[in-house]
Amino acid sequence: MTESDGPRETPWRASVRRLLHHRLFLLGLALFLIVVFAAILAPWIAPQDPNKLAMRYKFQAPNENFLFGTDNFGRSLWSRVIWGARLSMFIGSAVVAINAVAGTAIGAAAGYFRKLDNALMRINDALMAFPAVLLAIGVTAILGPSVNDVIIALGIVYTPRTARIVRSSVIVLREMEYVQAAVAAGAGHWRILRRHILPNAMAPLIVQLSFLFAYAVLTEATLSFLGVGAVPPTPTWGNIMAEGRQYMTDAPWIIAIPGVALMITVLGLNLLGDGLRDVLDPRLRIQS
Amino acid sequence: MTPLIEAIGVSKHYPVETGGFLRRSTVPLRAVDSVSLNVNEGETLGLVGESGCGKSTLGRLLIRLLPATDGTIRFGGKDIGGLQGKALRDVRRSMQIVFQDPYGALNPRMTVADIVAEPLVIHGDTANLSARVADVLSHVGLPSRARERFPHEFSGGQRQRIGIARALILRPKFVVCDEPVSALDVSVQAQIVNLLQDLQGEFGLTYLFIAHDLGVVKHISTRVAVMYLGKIVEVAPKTALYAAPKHPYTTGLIASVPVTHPSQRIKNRAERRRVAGDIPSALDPPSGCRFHTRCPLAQAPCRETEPKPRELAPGHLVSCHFAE
Amino acid sequence: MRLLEVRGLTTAFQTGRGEITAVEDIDFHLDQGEVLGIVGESGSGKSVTALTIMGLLPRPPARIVAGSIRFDGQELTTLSDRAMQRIRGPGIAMVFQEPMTSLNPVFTIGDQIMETIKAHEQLSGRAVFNRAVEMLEKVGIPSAARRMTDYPHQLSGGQRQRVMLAIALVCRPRILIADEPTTALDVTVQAQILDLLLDLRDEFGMAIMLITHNMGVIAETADRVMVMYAGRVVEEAPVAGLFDDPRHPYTRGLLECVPSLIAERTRLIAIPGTLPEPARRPPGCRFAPRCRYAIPACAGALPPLTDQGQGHTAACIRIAELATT
Repeated sequence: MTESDGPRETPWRASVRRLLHHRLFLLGLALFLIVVFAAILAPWIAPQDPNKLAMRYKFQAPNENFLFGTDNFGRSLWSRVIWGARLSMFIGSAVVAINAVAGTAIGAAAGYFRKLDNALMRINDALMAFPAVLLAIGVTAILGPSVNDVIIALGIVYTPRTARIVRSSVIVLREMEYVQAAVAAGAGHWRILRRHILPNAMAPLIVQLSFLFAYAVLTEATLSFLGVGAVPPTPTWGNIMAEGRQYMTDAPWIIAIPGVALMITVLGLNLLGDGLRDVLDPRLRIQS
Repeated sequence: MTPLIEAIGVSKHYPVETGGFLRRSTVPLRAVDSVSLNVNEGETLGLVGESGCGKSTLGRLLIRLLPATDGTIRFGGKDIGGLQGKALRDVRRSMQIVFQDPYGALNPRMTVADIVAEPLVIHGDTANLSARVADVLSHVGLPSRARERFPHEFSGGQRQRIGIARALILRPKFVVCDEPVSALDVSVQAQIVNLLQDLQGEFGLTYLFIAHDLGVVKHISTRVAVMYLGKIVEVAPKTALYAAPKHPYTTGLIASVPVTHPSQRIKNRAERRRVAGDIPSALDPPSGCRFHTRCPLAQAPCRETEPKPRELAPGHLVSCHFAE
Repeated sequence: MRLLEVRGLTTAFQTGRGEITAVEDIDFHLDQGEVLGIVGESGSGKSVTALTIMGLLPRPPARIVAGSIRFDGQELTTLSDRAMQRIRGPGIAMVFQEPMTSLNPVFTIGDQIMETIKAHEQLSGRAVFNRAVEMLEKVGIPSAARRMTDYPHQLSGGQRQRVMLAIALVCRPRILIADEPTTALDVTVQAQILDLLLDLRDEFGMAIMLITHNMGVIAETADRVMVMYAGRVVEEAPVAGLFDDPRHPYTRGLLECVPSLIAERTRLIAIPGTLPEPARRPPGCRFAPRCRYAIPACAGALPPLTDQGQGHTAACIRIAELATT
């Protein structure tokens, strides 16, 4: 009986192995982890209060004392950007978590139970029809501009897209013969969803969630840049950039540095997402 | 003796939307149309036909993997059409299915042990689970170290064995084999066919063996039923069907099978009684006898009335106006 | 001079795990008008052989390691891509197994046939159209002129395969390579297509390389047969000789494991085990691990193809002893 004699590999381990060989994925992961670690280590690497005013230090260009310089109120930009990273990571994770749970629940229900599909998808599509930023502004206008409300707003905005992706996978998986075999053996809906459908629907969802993190961070920055996100003096990248806009010619570092931070985060997440997509979902791969 | 499985007037229609933007209408796709069939305990009923004839659909209807649009299905004399919940689950222990595609039939994220044990777990019958899994794996010719492995580590033939093990672990009485060897290499097909025959003897199984390969069906079946476009056109004991087919479609089908030795080639190819034309669409089947568009015997009545099955010899039923 | 002469052909692929030899030491020839059946299970290398001859393997990762392919005296392995394009069509044409994916779904079948004509011949306008319609009629599509504007999805599987044949034969090639042309078709349609192939061969006189895993198709159509296993040729013979007196244990196994409509057997004689993966081929005879006649010497060296007389060759060191069993 010939079977593969090599060390046994679960499907997950095989994916992880392939990911670790994917150069762009590793680059994206590195960029993203820089931001993540900066956020986690904020209390230690940026101990100065990001909101502390110190007018005598205002408008300093980056130097040995203030690595990122100071802004118009003399606040350390280094502190503000690092604590802004912390906030961005928190918001991104929260939005991804909401999407993972709500998007999966709605998408799986719509994809698996034909009777629910129509109703759920009509609501879904209605929400998706709004441009993300506009809808987010609408929700924060109703709920108020706090960090938690921004998270709720972004959750509402992006969940429909995630639900669609999960629904597509579930519709395909529902017809797989191993699902039919489970039905023939007497399995109920819950078992089929839990054991057969959801584990195999993870791949496109994971890819989507990584891109989603980037969208969440970007949209939050947009919201606060427009003044409808977290209220100043809370240091978010968007807020910092909004304040720095007026001083663009005199103190360009105020707007540039958070902009670069945002760019690194989004780029890193995109590369990470591309790598995940290449490894986990070969159907989406672009033929090289 | 009551047959193990009785199907009476069973139909499966799928509503399909046709028409343009303003004249939408729903036309039924008659995948299986008023089929009556019996499967006796201990036998292997072969079910043959070409693509679109509904044989796979019929197999799934018989074990209630699909709900029938019409008709009655009985298992062991009891009507199983209306069963729900626990009653349905209990009946499922007695009827199982082996699928065609060894690659789609096993969940890639589950180990072989989990896949094979799942039916027992679903029914809460988990005493001695490990031993029972090992036992059924050895019956299908797989080593016990296969248990912790994943499907992708096995070849097509081995995966089919895993699928068979999963079907048998509940000790069913009736197994639908839906083209179980069509996707395998020729040398592996023989292994699996032999295995299915051995298991039938060991476990006292009754098979519905669905296939398009007439040679394999002839080898394994006791009786054979031929389907065309959702209807059964002929049923007979195996030897009678192959030696003296009565329905013109069966005759054409058998004549289309490639010869087994070059010396059997017919010199004048045009003379061979093969079937001309293409299979019509199941959305718009021909009127009257569905085969009349391709039938060498077709006459006026064939276009108008659907033939009813006639018993031309003991156990030999034919649905044709002019066969004899 | 033979129409096609292949000597010592060895093709390998560069993979993540090094270079893997797909087919090795392939020797065969093809004469005008004859049907050569190439039979073997999936993974035996039959398609790779055909694609190498057609120059359709992307190089890299494929590489012709050794050997020669002579078409009408001209060496193909060293030809440039452009020169090879001129041969594909009027010289050697190919049809594949899956007509649904071989035909472009967004073009009409008429366009696809005419495109082939225009690529190789100097005709234009009406003449191209008429040639295409003529070809559709020859392959048995009724109302051919009207069907020219149909799209592939409007045709059945058998009709699409006929269209593939029309495209392949419209430039009157000298050789037609058919790679499992009927495997995806129903048996009644398969019979029609095989008959059609032979009718077209009678009319146009081209040679056919018919690749299949189905011995019945070989019995119906082939003049000579070449049996491949794990990338090598294990037997070659005229078709009657192969069926009457198979010399290689694998050929015997293939013939024995197919249930026939005529003979009655209680048990199919199966070949145990499975084909070895290309990266894990055993030393010596590649069939030895599955062969019921294997002896220790079989694993020693690759058995050469030895002449058995009357155009019959086989690669097994025990042929002489086994011939009497």
